[in-house]
Amino acid sequence: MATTYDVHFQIVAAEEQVAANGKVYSFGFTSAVGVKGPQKLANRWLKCFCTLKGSDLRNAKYGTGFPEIIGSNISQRRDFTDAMALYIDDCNTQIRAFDLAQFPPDDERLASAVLTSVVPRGADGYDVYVTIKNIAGTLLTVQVPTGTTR
Amino acid sequence: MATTITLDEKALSDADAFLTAYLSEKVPDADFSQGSVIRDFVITAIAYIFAYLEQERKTTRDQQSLLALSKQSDSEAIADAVNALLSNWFITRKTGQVARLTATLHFSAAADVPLSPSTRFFRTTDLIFVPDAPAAFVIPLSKLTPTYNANNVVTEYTTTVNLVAKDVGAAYNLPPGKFLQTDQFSPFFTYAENQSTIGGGKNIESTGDLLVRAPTAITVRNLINARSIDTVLRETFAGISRVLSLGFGDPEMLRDFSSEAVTRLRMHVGGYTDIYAQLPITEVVESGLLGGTYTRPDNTIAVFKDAAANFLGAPAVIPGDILRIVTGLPDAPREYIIDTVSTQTLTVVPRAAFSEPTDEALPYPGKYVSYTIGNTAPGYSDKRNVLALPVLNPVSGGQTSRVIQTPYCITLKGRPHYRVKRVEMFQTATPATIEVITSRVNGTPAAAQYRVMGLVPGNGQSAYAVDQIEVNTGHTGSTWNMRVTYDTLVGYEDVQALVVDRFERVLASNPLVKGYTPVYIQMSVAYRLRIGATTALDEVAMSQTVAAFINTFDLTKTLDMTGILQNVRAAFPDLGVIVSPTILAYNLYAPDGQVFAYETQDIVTVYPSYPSNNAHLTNGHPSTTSPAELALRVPISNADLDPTTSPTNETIFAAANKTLKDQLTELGVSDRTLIYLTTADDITFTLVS
Repeated sequence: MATTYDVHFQIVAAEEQVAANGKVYSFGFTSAVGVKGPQKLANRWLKCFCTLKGSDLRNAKYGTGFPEIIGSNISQRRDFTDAMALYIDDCNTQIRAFDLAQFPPDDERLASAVLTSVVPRGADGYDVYVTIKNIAGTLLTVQVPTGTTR
Repeated sequence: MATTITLDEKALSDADAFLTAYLSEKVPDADFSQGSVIRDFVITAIAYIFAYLEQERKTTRDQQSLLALSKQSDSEAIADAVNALLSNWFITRKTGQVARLTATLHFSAAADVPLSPSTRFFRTTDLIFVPDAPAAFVIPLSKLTPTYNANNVVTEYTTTVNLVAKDVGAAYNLPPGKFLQTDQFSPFFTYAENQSTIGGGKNIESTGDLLVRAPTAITVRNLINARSIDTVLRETFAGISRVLSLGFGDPEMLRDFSSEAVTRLRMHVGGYTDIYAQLPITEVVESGLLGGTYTRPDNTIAVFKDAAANFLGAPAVIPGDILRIVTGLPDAPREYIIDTVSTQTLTVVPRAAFSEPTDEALPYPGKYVSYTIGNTAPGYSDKRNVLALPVLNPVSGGQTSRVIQTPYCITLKGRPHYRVKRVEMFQTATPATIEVITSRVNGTPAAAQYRVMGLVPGNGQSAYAVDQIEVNTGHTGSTWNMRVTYDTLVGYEDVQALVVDRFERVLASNPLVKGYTPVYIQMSVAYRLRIGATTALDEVAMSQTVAAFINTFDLTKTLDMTGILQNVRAAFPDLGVIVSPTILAYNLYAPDGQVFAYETQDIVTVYPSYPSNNAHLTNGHPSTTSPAELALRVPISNADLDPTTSPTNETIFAAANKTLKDQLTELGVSDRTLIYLTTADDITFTLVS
């Protein structure tokens, strides 16, 4: 399969999210940036992870429940971690299904995605890191948007 | 136009797939695979919009094509689209037709009955009829008929009135029954009823029917050929459901025959068009003085009369003699061939009739002509030579006339005369004493019998039909009146008026609209219930089903007993064994007034053909011994036409069939000029155990 590019997007810094009307992702460039390889896989994975399940008109099963916990009152870190693990697993299943149907290059095909760390951010929220590995063996650790617990 | 665009999953998938393929080709470097970001933004985001626009494009494209429209289920949007497309060819949807009936009104006392077109008669709570009249009118007391009980006491009075449905639609075609309610119009009114099935109601034309009609509608809009006549009449008159145009060279065409008196040579000369139109049927009542004077409906001025003459006296005037009008007519002198002779009246061959009726000239009693009669040229005066001398008393001279007067007869109005339902006789002084005559015969009527005579078979079932109804000679005196109830065609006059309209007609043609020659069918079916059936069958509904099947039968196919019974079995699965033999009887009412009675156990045809069909005539005879039998020019016996008789002489049989066929052809009757009709009352089902 010939190499193709996807549009790149990046996380909006937590302190800028309010000014950006709550947006957590942005193209962030003066012109679109194409990506391929592991970053493209990471983008696909994050997009699925951050899409609220049921919000896609064409595919009600696309996405995870992760967006629902942003702003929720999870006080126990353990609960938060468990929820994240479930959502990551759900996301992995969907991305693998896509991969099986479309068979992208090895560096864009998901091997695994695991919760790397959940770091409390002050008195409110966590910074969540996920390590995504492609079939080619490349590891990429991404930060998911801030899970503000309010 | 209310068009609803519906997007289904397939439409969205198709849009998705098209956009993916298209963009993948245009931007080969972009990743439009499932789950990619770019796919969400440039494909998924607009797939709905693209699918909507694509669906609208398809809908718009489909609405430009009658073929595509014909494949879609009828809806308001489709109907609007078809209307819009066909309007390009000036084809419009038929607006349906109102049902008509003759209702019988019952009264407790005799009094004038005032009615207006707004007086409502509720046949059901929703189906309303009003009097079929343009303005308010009064049914006079004299038109009310008393009904007597066994003690000769008047129990009620009845009269009839023509009603028309308030709206179009086949729902108004109802079986006989009583009206639920009426608006108040007479204190003595008790109830109204329709004694026969209401007919003529038609729904607004469906899109399917309109599309079927459209191909023949796209043609020249002149009354010049079969295709254009069909189009113009169907477009103009919603009630017309079938049209057949016959003209030069068609065997059914009788009006263009030119006969040569001496050699009896006959040849078609052309110039005539017979237009058969199938219209809804309604019942009308007509009355007149028995033996009275009637203007010939065909307006032919063929009567010559001289009150002082005795044409039967020596030397007797005979048919074939020449009547020569010497003075008194614009085209005099001119000769005419005498056709019939009576004491003071002659008729001349109608094809070369008089140019004007002198008895209608003013002042009364009109102009008189000088004439001679004879058979020796050039004067033709060897039998009569009469000079017109109006100053004498009595006046000397003859008069031409379009009025006919026949003993024991009334002449019906010029229009199609289908089945005669009732003939009633009464004297002017005693209108309440009514003699009902029910038996129709072909020969000279005896007591309680009547016959119909079509004097001009070529004009049968048309505005020019000269049809008379004759009763027996027992009705002497000049005060007998006859009241006839018969079926005719709804709106016939309007169709005829159009084809003879000066601006519509073909200038070189003599067009005439005719009703199809009616064949009325009767059938009695003895049946058993299907084994296991638990409820009785609705025999009235079964009769109505059969009647509807026959009346709407596609006449390009052959009607047969099997088809009729299959149809009723399909509608009533609990119908069990039909107890054989079921015989279907049918009467052809020929244009000369004769009734050709048939029976069959298989196909319905007026041309029996043994052994291919079992149909046979039942009132033929070698010599007319009964008034009911046909007076065929070449004798036909029932035995000749009945394959059930034994032994069967096939040679005689074939010859008899040919004679019958020739006889019908002589009357302008063929399979294509026939219409099969029946009513639910004529179809009976009887349960046998």
